[in-house]
Amino acid sequence: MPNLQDIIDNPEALQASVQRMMNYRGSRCEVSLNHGIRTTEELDQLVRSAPADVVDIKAYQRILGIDAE
Amino acid sequence: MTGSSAAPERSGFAFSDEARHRIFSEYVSYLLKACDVFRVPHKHLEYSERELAMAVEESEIDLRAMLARRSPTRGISQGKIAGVLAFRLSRFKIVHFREDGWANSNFHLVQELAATLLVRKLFVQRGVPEKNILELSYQLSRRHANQETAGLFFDAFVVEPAG
Repeated sequence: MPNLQDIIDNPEALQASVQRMMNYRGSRCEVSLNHGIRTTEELDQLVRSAPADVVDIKAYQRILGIDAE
Repeated sequence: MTGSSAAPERSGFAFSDEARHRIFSEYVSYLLKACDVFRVPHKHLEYSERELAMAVEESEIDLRAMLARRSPTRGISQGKIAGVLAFRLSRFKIVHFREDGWANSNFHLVQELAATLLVRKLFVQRGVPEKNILELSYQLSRRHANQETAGLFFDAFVVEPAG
């Protein structure tokens, strides 16, 4: 790592530092957690497969302290 | 800004027209259920078609960014997709109340509850306790949650496929 004072005192050192960064070709790993859906087709299939659903309105009202009619 | 009446071209990772149709239609049905939970008369509420459409479009941008950031080859989880859509459906100005509805002390949760119930059905596809659904709705409405933290919530309830 370049010393900042050296870089200030030596313009060629700064140029060399910049060039090293320009040449950097590192890459990071992919995150391999919680993967699954990769394509529009898979996303579409997921939405299509959603099962029928029942929302228990009274259960929400009980938690919220809303009196059911 | 100018707009075009033609449907925009979508490229890359996106909802199909069929999926968008289902999201729009199911969203409205969950809006009705959310009103029922809070006993908000349906006639007190209106929804912006434009904002709803734009929320879904914005969620697609989020999903593409998330896919690029996390794992283009392995994809993103159902829970993260749910979190992205729940976040966008909460942030856009979709639900509007007529003055008659302002007295209801829970009206600020209607839009968020509808969003949370919708994504639970479409992407989590299993039961989530009501108290957790309400907690996330509150967080989205009045506190702090972003796409990925909402996704983290839903990830906890999704059953990962084996392998």
